[in-house]
Amino acid sequence: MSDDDARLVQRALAGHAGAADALLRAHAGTAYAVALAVTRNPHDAEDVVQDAMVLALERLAECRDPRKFGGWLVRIVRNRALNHRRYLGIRAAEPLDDAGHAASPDSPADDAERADLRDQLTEAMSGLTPGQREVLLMHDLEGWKHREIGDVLGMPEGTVRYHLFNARRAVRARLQALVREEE
Amino acid sequence: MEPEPIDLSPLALPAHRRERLIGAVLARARVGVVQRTPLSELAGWARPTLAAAAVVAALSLGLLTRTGPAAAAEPLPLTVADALSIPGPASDWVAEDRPPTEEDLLAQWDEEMTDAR
Repeated sequence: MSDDDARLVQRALAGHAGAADALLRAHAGTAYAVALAVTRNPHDAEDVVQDAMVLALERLAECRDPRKFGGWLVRIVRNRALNHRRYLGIRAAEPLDDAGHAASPDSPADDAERADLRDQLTEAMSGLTPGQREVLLMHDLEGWKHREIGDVLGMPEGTVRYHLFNARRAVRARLQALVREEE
Repeated sequence: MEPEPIDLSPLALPAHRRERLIGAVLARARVGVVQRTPLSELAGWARPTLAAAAVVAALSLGLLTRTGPAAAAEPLPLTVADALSIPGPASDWVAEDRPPTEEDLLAQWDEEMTDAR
């Protein structure tokens, strides 16, 4: 993966549009997850990711270790998301907006079910700290390893495990409580 | 004993929005337009350099704190007379630009005898 990134970075810098496209495609999910963890709003997360990716591509020559392009991009996304949250203040503290994915080509039934699940997860994650949300989304949604998350977020591997443990336990407990409330 | 992973896939960016996002980025970005320059290299070193400077400052403060009281224990002389350790009355006579009277000398002698006892 990292060698692939290094090759894609070199090719993108040489002017191959396909390489830039592949780089974005490989890391869009993680970038979005991190932005979502910080902003807690799908619209804001997409805006942040778009700006961060434009910046990353334009500054691609400054990526010191192209094998670690993913971590470098995540740091840019995270910084922009934090700035965005500070800038928006109160608005960023609002719960996730479920209109963010409304225009899906899926059937209305699929959409409704997905929206319901998303709302439950959003509600269950609302009590987590930003750090816990980042760790949980990067690990359980994007499949990053503890060490990789620690490198990017600047925390020891043990802290990553601790956040993940607490985040999973809190989310699961909240989800169970939500199910009981519905019954 | 980590709890089982949670299926967070409903929170993922849907494929059609991912495509739109990537398309928008590629339309806006000029890949590699910002080149690595000596200035950007220096900027990259700013953070570690500032960290090193902070460590040096902390060490210096520690040393100053340790040596400060010893140096401050002995106050600096304020006047030439203080620096030359000239007795107080003599420096007064110099300051007043007059020779000592017999009373002055007797008073000083008496004071020194009292101190000697």
